[in-house]
Amino acid sequence: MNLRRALIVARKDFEEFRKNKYILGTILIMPLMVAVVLPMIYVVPINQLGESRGNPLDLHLDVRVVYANVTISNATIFDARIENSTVVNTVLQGCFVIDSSISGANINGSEVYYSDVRNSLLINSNVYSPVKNDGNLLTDSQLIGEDGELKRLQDIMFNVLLILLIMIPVTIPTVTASYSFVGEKVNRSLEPLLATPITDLELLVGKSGSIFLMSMGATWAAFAVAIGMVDMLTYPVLGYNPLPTDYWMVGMLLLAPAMCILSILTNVIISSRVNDVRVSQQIGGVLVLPLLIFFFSSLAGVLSTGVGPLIIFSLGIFAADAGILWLSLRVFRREQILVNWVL
Amino acid sequence: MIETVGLGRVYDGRVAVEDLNLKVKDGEVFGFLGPNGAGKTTTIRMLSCLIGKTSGTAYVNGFEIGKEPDASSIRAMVGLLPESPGLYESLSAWKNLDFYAQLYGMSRDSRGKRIEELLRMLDVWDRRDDPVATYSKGMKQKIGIARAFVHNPKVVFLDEPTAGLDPQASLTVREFLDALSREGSTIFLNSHHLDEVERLCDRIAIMNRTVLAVGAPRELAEGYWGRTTAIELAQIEPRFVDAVRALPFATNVRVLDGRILVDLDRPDERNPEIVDALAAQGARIEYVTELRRTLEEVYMRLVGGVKR
Repeated sequence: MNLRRALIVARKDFEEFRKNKYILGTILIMPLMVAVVLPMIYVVPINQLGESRGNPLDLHLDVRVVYANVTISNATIFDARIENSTVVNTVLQGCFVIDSSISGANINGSEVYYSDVRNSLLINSNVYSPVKNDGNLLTDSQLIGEDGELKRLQDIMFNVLLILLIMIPVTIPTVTASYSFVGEKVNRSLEPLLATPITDLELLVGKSGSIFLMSMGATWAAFAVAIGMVDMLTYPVLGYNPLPTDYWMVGMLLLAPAMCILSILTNVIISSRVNDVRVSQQIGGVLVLPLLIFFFSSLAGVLSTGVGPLIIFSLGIFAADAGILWLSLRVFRREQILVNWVL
Repeated sequence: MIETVGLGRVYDGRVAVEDLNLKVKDGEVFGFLGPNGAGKTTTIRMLSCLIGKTSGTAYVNGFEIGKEPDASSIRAMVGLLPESPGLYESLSAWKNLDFYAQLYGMSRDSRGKRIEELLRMLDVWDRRDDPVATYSKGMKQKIGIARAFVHNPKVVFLDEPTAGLDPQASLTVREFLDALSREGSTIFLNSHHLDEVERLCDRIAIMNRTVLAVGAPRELAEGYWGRTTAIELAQIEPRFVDAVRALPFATNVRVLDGRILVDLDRPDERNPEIVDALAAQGARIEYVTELRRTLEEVYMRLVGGVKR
């Protein structure tokens, strides 16, 4: 395969897309809506729930001692920074605790970050993003960051936002591929193009490559903007940046390209059967169905919302891509295009 | 340059082309005439390796069609103008041609020179940067023709090159094709315009699924009717006609439109004898001319009665 020729086709398609207002509108408006407008809508309930929990207390700690990687039990500690330690049946007064495991403690006027806190009494303290928050009694204290109800709400909101973001690499190819392939049929420009030395594979790679790069460029830009928007809007309430999670990273780097390839190749096959750009787009729209089934199964609890199932689902889509590529190569042959495609 | 041997193509049981035998010489302008559905476009598509054959074979510059890597070599050396120019409407003429020139592997310098040369020859240089969508049908057809020649191909297939063009644009295209054929390209063109084919082509094939006749336009007419002398007299009398009929070499002597028509093998030798015979009968001869058959008459005789 001569990649140079594939690149020439890709560049020509880019140029055509750039001059097509409909395609340009799709590439710009959809990501803008999903990445900017929707985070503003989705963040409202998270912020409201977070705000109902109150703001962090202003404690002004004066740390004088540091304990790191130790086990503290049956003690009384004042004005200390405790890191990566185990604290049992201890009184903590004016302490800063991070990445530690605390149980049966009396925590007063302290700040606790990213720790496993169980069966403890928290008085006049801030607890940020606890790893575990079981059996604790909070008196005049603030629980700040993800936990229980807020975490579940976040998961739902962020998953729905992820679905919408992954619809970008599915939707853009239904528009661009329709124009790229069906458009060549409608303009009758395929015949002179196929009369050149370009091979069927080079043509398929060139056309698919331009659509893939453009769709994924818009998708990843939308992801970056959405992450920035969500983090910017939730940080004042949560006190940390909730995105990107591992789940989002898998969605962004694995599932989005897999769905994009699926969309492009399916549109190649659809284009071989239809002669109208709109029909091609409508049939291509069906592609979002497996995506919706997967995500709503996750939200309904039928599937886990963990990273593992998402990786497996993404790999499944890549396997489907391979099958559809095989089919596309069978459909995308000179003879078939000119004789069987309705030109 | 092009040779077809029993070439045929069947689409789902429908015969489009059968037993096509042709030889087109290097640098020749070869016309392909035939009614709609006669298989002209199918033949061009087979010869430019766009579709396969179902029987026979063909060679373009020594490479066999339908076989790799020969087919790739053929595609690299031929240019094609299909029935519709099929241009990228949002791109300019320059970018359309440059795209194809790049696909043929031309360098930036040679692309620029060639595109300028072609656009100037076809009188579209001034509009080179405008989107093709703003061009008239004739201008688009010219860009399609320029595209077929952009890579200096050895063989160019043109399907109805002057279809839809006004007389001025047709003339420009004819002059362009004439100039490029002198550069050595072999031009194979399909057309319904008998007059255009007669003016442009060195040889013509009339086809209807298969070749019905091949030859130079004039040879075709002579081949079917022989050569005919027309004698115009001041007054036609039966004895004058009988005098001509009495000559042993004269065949098919008849009177038409106030003239005596005689079919002859060698009119240059026989015409003086006819004149002598008529003069001996006292006839006043006003004109002796050769009656030329038109290509249209040949075409209609060959395919006129064919119903598809």
